[in-house]
Amino acid sequence: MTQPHPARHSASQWRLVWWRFRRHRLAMAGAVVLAVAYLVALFAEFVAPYSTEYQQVGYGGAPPQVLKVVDTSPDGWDWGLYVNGYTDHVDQETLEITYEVDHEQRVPVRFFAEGESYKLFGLFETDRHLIGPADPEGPPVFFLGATANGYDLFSRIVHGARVSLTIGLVGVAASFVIGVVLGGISGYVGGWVDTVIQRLIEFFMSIPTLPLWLGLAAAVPTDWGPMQRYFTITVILSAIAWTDLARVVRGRFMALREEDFVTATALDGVGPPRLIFGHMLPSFTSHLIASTTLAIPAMILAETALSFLGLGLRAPAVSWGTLLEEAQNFATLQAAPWLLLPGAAVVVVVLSFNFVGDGLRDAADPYKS
Amino acid sequence: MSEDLMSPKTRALLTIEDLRTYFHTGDGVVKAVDGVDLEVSAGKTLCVVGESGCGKSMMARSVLGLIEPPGRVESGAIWWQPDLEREHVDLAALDPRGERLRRVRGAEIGMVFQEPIAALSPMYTIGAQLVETIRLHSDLTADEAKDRAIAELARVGIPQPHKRFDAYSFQLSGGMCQRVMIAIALCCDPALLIADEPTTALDVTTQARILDLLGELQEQTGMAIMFITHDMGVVAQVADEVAVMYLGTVVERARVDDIFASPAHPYTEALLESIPSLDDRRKSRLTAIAGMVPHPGDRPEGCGFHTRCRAAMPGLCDVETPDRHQLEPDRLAVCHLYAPAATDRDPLATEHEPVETVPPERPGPVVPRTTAGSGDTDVPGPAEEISAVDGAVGPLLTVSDLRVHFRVKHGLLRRTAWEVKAVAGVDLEIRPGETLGLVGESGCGKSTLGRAIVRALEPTAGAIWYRDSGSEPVDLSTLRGRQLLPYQGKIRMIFQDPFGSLNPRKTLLQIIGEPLRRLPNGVRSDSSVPDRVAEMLRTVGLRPEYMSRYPHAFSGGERQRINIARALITQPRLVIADEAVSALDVSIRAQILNLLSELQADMDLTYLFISHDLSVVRHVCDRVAVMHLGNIVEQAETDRLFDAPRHPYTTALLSAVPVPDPRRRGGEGRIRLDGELPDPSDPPSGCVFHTRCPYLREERCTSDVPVLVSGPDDHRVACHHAGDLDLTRLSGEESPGRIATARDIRLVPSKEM
Amino acid sequence: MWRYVLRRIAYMVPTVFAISVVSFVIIQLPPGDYLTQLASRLRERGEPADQAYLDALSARYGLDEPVPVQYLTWMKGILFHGDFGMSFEWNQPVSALLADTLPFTIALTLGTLLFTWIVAFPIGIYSAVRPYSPGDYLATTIGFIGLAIPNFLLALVLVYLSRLWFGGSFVGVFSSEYAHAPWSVGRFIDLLSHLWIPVIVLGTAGTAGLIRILRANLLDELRRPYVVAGRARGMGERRLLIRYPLRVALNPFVSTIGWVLPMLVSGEVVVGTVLALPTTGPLMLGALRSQDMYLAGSIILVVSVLTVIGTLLSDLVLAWLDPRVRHQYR
Repeated sequence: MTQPHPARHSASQWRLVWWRFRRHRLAMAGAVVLAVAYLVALFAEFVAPYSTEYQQVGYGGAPPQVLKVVDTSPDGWDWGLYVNGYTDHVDQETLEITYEVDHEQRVPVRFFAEGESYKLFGLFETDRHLIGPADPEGPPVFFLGATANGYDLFSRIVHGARVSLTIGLVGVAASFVIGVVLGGISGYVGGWVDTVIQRLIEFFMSIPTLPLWLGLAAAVPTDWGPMQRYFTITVILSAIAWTDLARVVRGRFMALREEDFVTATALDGVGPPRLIFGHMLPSFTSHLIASTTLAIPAMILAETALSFLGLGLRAPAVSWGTLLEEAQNFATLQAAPWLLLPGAAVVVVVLSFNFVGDGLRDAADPYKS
Repeated sequence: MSEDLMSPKTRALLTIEDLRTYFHTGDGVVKAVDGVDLEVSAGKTLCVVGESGCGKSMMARSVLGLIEPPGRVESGAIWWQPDLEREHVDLAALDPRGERLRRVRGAEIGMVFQEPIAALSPMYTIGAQLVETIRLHSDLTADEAKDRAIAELARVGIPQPHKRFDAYSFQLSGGMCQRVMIAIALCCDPALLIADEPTTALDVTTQARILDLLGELQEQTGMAIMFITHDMGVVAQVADEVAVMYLGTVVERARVDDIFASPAHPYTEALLESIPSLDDRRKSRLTAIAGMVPHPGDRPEGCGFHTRCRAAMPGLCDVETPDRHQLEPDRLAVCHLYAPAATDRDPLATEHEPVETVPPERPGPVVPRTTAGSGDTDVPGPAEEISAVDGAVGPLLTVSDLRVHFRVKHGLLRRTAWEVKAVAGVDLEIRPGETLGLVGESGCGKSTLGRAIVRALEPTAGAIWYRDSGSEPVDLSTLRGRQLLPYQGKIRMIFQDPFGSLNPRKTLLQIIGEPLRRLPNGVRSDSSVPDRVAEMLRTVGLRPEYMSRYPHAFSGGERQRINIARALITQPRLVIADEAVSALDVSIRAQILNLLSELQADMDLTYLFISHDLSVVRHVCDRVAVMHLGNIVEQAETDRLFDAPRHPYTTALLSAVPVPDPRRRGGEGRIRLDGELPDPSDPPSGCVFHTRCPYLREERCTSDVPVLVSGPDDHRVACHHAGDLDLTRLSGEESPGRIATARDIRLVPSKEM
Repeated sequence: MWRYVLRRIAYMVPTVFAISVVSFVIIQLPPGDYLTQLASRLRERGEPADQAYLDALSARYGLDEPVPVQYLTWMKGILFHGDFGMSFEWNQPVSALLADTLPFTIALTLGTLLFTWIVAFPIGIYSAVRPYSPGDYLATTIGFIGLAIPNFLLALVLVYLSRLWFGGSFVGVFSSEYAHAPWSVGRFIDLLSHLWIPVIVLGTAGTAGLIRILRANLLDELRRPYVVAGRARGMGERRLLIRYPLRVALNPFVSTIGWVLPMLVSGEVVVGTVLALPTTGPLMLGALRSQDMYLAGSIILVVSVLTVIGTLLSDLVLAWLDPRVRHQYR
């Protein structure tokens, strides 16, 4: 019962949670992936070689160029980052232009390359990008190919991460507030208030989510700006997600009310506000965080689906969902399958969130052996 | 059974040789069973006794191959021979999932578990589960099996077996479920029944009836029983032979009389000393075993018990593993004391009296009570002076007509569907300096009453008058919110569950210091809080440096000390101890009981001691109140209540307590309550006890509600016929006029007496 | 039991009423209505909107009435005549459009539910009985990925791959030669060959979720004392597993009907659009875009009510299966 490690004796809850979480290898991997993803989103202008507006109509539908280090062309060995250039063919009948990677051509690539200038966080003006063509005047590079309109897919995915990764956070934050308040009232007050809130939750849960989302999203005026739409969409998404959190909070409150230590603390002369916020809430914040983490991927998926259907964010806003909207057409897809790559980004991020959430859930109660 | 004991050694049914069951966990190997040797003789009862974590259950499960990964039977043999015509089988060598072992399970060896309700599937009726077992081991048709099942249910004493056949486990009480489990275990006439703490989760009255049932069934069928328990009282009641386990090994094996008369192993002796007995002298100090059972993961070197043993010989016990020593033909001890080299320094030797030499007329406790080696002597306790009831001093707390009703709401509109009167009009006085015991079966409302007094629950009606010395009485039930604060420091509570009652997310300083910071009679300046907490920790026997630690660093007993520190830091007058020692092992329990009585003397405390354990209550309380279904049915000074109870319920309760003395095994004199505690939402009319009362009379019992009437010596009883009931007839031929002693009432003198 | 059934049905009434209000409110939310949409579209095409024509339409559909009156008219039509109103866009009664598409949606949903169970059941049991085995890890991995892939992405990938490998189009429910043909074996086979993609796409997330739930529940149940007790009375492992823990672990399986249905219906909107299925999803999407209010509102209403009925059914089956639920509501 007593742990053999003295350090454990005076380890706080969060330290114990961390120790447990650390043992969960998948969750740790997920956490690292997410950290990288959010860093990329934060420094999107720097990480992406191009801005979202950078368009090379002449390269529409160009395939991905693989980043190479060693040149093994017939001329002999050579070191240095480069990609192969393109050659274009014009179909004589349809006059359609197709691009192919030309292994003869070399387009040198370098880190901290000079490119379009931008203001990082609106403060620091610079023209350096993490990676890009060594010669800013030379041919462009498309690491993940170009869209049909000649946008660089890699840059757009990087910029899209901003919307796609934050919409989940903002949405969950909103539903967190609603859920904790309503669930807390329901669980702590009980009685008829509880009954009303419970019915409300049951009602929300019985409506199929997507039709509701679609209906609400369709109601958003088409002339609203991207920011307005962004926030409206998050509100719509959180309209459903709060029910789960409210249930979790309520259940925990109900269980805690019966715990001896809560009674004991009340008998210590601790009044309701301090009892709730100082003793009861801290007892399940870790569970709440785990539930919240597990709610984020659903939001990301929902945003993607809405935008994909054209009801969420709309161009010129760039998100993974709007990028995927371009892949709706099978003909386009057949010609440029790399347009599905934003989907891969979605999958990786959602997987990571699920892993982290699972790890947190397992670690949330460090006192259960 | 007793005659058999004297007969020559009977055939061994089950022989366990050097059994080892290890669990391979991420944190290393846990040796749950670490070399057990024992024997179960045909037709006999072997009790395996020891504190929790001693590997008793794991040993029992190993017999039937029920160990689950990451555990497995590492080595050793389990020889099984159900009848002489058959070969010995080594159960340990059989495939746990194989056909052969499956035939042994259920058909040759039956097993009963601690949690009867959980051990039955809620998805099928009990009849279906019984029929399934019968058909598994026989060729009966479904209809035949059903008839057999109903007969089995009747045999284990289930009323209306035809009807109960279709009941689900969650519709039955724990006692009923345990009967069903016994029926399932015995339906194929096994030669051995393994009962793993079968009565631990049950009330004492139900326990008594289950123990009776097992005894009757054993007589009928001649089966052997391996009975696992931690309760020495139960051991004394049921055992023929006893195996005492400590840290995965058997440290002593002997016949039951020998164990109780002259324990050979220091652990056995210490176990016996740490249990308060029903006829214990009040307020005497219990001899506790120092420390606690180590985790099997870090077993001490040498003899596993040496860290707690008061006869430990440094340089020997902490180095070498002791050998087994055959003391007598039926007797084994694993202890260095009996090694030839150690005989000249045997400090316990003088106390070992052969059982025959105990004078039959000896009135005192049979167990030699010593505090040898601990340096302490029996402390009469300064509390005795205070506790001597002083009529001049007014009560500290007076509860009058207190009621706590719970409304059970139901349906869409949340109407009150029914009301449970958990406390149905209780009058109680607690006098300054005394310890008032509150006893009763679970569900009788004793905890609710305690919680209502500290105002953790809102009383429905009635008054709680609190009067501190030299001040006016205050009715606590009328105070709200902040008005209560001054009294919350005066009346404190200690909870039962040492794990649930401490917030795992706070340090000891925060937990114990909280009331100081919040309550008006505490200190407000933050700087003095750590000093006060440190002092309090020292008082309850914990090191002040533990202040920065979290509760998870402490064991159950230590946590209960923390609970006590939290309760006492406000310097209260009244402490309500709600089953404060019930969750603890016997040795730890003794430590905490001693601490409580020391603190009472030092801090001039008054206790309301709520407990279901009558032996403990007798040991610590000055006066006792007995509760049944929300009402107090009897209240008297402790000795008076225990020696001359006047309410039939009290008598029944007392007679159900197993006495830790095998020579006083029960016979005809005991009262067994029929039926279960009635549904508190629908209490019986008239006297709430009338449905179970063996003395039920036509007049008044079913119609009038009896009130608590004060008799001579402040002995109060709520029974219409208390005056003319001859409760003493239970004790056999009594000379009139003499006050019957507890023993007389409850027990028929056994042969030895 | 019957009282329980009646009570559950009684609970449904306020829910369904609230859903009908919400459906109506949602379709009223966008600024303007179908007529303004129509007028602006006509203007775009350069045809001047004929105000008299618009007024006539407005009067015909009662669009000039206050919103509560419109709601009451709509509900009255549904309740007493089965009339869900007219679709402006299609110029057809909504009920006719629903009759065309709803059977496909229901068939697809049920088919997917069946697929989900058939796949999730054995895998979930295997994972729980052999936890931490390679097979369990494989199932868990697939489960995680299944939950992480947006279903439209899966649809796109599957269609892309099937074209790459098998050639031909798997979009829609019928190949062109069977599209208007009468029912025949060939047509049925053709239907099945088209349905596998939507079923897999719709079922993947649900299957993954079910596997995880079943595994977790069964693992919990396997540790319960009654399992050890069953073993101790000599039951074989397989029989023990099927009769005892599995029975309890089935409960969440049944209650999945409650949550799988809304999930499938939601997914169907996206997948139906991607795969051009003649189901209600794409119809609703189009209606929402063009503010074809009665059509959109009716679909939301019908689909939501179906979900509520699904939840009810799952609760009833649960009560029928689990004596604890049954006896709680005597």
